[in-house]
Formats: sequence, C-alpha cells, structure tokens
Amino acid sequence: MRARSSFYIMNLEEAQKRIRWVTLGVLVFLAIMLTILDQTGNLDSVFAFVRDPMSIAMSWTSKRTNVVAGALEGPRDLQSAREQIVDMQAQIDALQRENEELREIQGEYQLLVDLFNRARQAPDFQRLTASVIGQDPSSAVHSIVIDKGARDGIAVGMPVESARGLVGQVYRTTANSSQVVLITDSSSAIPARLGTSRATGILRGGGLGGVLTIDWIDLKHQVEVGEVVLTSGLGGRFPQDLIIGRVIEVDRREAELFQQAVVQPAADFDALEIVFVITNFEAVDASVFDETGP
Amino acid sequence: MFSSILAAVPIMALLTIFQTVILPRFSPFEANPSLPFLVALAFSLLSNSEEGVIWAFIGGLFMDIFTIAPAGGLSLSYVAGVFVASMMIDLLPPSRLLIPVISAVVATIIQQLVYLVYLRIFGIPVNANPLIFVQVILMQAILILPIYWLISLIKRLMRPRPVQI
Repeated sequence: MRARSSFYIMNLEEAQKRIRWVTLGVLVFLAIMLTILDQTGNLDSVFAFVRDPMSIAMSWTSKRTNVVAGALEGPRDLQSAREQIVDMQAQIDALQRENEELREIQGEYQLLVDLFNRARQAPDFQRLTASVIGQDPSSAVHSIVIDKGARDGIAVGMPVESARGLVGQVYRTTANSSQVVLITDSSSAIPARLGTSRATGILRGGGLGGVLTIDWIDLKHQVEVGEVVLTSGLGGRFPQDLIIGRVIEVDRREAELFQQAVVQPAADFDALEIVFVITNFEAVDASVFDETGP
Repeated sequence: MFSSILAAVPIMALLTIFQTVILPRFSPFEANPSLPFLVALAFSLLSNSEEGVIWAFIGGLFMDIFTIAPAGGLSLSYVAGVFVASMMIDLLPPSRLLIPVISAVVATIIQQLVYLVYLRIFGIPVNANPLIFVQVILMQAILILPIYWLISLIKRLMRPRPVQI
C-alpha cells in the first residue's frame, strides 16, 4: 500500500515537472513566433488593435498624471524661482551689453546678405502639436508615445521636435497614436552639421546612460565647445538646420583620421510633454542609391 | 488556473499603462523597475511556476506592444527570469523576506541577460552600463517586497485557508 502511494506521489511529481517544462517550451515557442511575425510585419494590425484602445487610456492617464506632477512640483519651483531671479538679473545686464554689440554685427550681416542676394530661406514647415503620453517600457531603447496618429495625418519617418530642438522620428503609427524613436536611442544615426565650423558628421544616440556623440568629423575642422549642432539634411531623412544641441566636449586625437564631439541635446528628454511633428517634410528615399547595379 | 490567466490580462494591461505613463514622470532614475515582471514573479512565488510564467508572458507581451524593440523579446526574457527563479524556490530558506529578495535578484539578472542577448541577436546596439544594471537589480530587489506581501494578502483574502473544526 505504502509502495503504491509513493509510486503515485513520484508520478505526480514527474507529471508536474513535465507540465512545467511543456509550459515553458510552449511560451518560448510563442515568443519566438511573435518575433518572427513582428519582423515580417504580420503583427502590425494585431498590435494596433490592442495599442489603439490602450493609447486612449494612456492619454487619459497622462493628462491626470500631468496635473498631479504639476501640483507636486509647485512648491519646489517657487524656491528655485527666487534663486533664478537673482541669477537672471545678472544675466540680463550681461545680455544687454551683448545685444548692443550684436546690433552692430547684424547691420554688417544684413549688408552681406543683400550683397550676395542669398534667397535661401528656411522652408516653412507645418507642425502638428502632440502630447507625450508614454515612454518606452524597455529601458534599453528610447522612444515615446504621442497622442496623434495616422488619423491626424502622421506617417512613419516624419521628424519630431520640441520647442527647444529635435526629438526624433516617427517609428510607427496607429489610428490615434504614434511611437517616436528618440535621437538618444542607440540605434539612432542622424547626419549633422556644426554651426560655426560647418563640419559634418553622424550624430549617434548613446542609449541608456550614454551620451550623444558626433562621429566622423574630419580633422581639418577646428571644432569648438559651444558650437550649435544642426541637422545637415544629408540622406534626406531630416530637413536641414533643425537644432539638435550644442557641443560640450571635443575628442580630437591627431593620430586618428577623424575626431568626435559630445553633444548636449537642446531638448530636455526627461521633461518632454509637448512635441511638434513636421508633417509636410517629404523624406527622400536614398535607398535606391545603395543598390549596386549589374 | 484558467481564471487566474484571465485575471492576468487586465492586470498586466493596467500595469503596462502605469509603467509607460506614470512611472517615468515620477521616477528620478534613468532605468525604472519593471512592475509587470515583479508582479509575475511574486505571483509565481506565491502560487505555482506554470501560472507564474504565463503571467510573465502576458506581462511581457503587453510591454512588447509599446516598445520599439522587436516584439517577443520582453515576453521571452520575462518568462526566462520568472521560470529560473521559480525553479530555485526550494533551495531558498523559508523566509518571507529572503525568498522574494533573492528570487528578484536572480530573476532580474536572468531577464536582463536574456534581453540583452536577444537585442544583440537582432543587431540592436545596447549600451550595457553595469551601473544601471546594478541599479535595476537593487530597485527590483527592494520593490518586490511590498508587491510580494500585497499579492500574498490578496490571495489570503480571496482564498482563506480551510479551517478544521
């Protein structure tokens, strides 16, 4: 009798173990299938079906969260505001002096502009305002979710900026939300130009805990700390002259062919609430030039 | 078991919204703890391994929907982390403090490593900063305690122990 019961217990344990491993196997298989389906683009409509109602809930939650966050930040802001007033007063004095000097320079500049009859004007982009309603749940990649989607005219590839500077590019859309890959993401690579030295390079995101850097800057350029970093427009994915940030460090080694610059982004990625999607910029498909001929 | 899996769907959906909308607004850290993962882990420790890994899969699936990384990566890494932690539960001292903490540390390490390898396989460059890695492990090891105790309390309220008279 005892032998039979111990036999049953052993069988039960065996069965439980088997169920455990089978469950694991099935779930791993499902995860791999998900990856395959996602990579082949067969999951887009299914995920959009779930993402759409959830983004409505996210938008609703985001508005309430902003109210609470604003209320919590209030008293802290008041203290820091007093300190900032003193600092800013000193800055105003310095800026007024600088302004006088700049007026003179502006006069000279206007003359030069007229002389060369340079008609180049920054294209007047149409910008669609969107609220940031979420961030990427995975800390290994950097993206945000905004409350405007295909229904509002947003399409994949459109550049996204904040009031301060470039934020990223639309990665995918659903009917009423979009996901934007940030310039700080480690997969991001944007052709950039420096404002003063006119040097060009590729701006790369540093990912988690990393910094923005511009690689492949020719050594012939004397890059200075403080230079403004803009989009160069090369490659056709971004319009020209969108502000990205400023150079805060230059890594120049004479033994190497290229130098590198560390960039402080103009946009504050920790406090992104409102962004602007440039809706009338048509990206140039440069992939045809990558194909090698027969 | 089926009802528990059904319950996982709305719970994980809500946790994903919390993770993507609320947590980044209030967290001062660059990397945040993963609440769906911790809930799945706590559930696995308090019920059984199979239910736990299914919860982990559902949690990972919802997170996969809102990440730009290839779908399936978070589901796979969550399942791996929770499964390994639930396998070693018998080896741990029977303590309501040590079991969740040690499990969270082990599960997080496994989850992060699996996800890192997964991203590398798909050619996604990841800056694996060891300091942030340690920071995530510590945060999850601390946060698992209230989650573990809360789920334990809910389970006790929903399914009281039978009393023999």
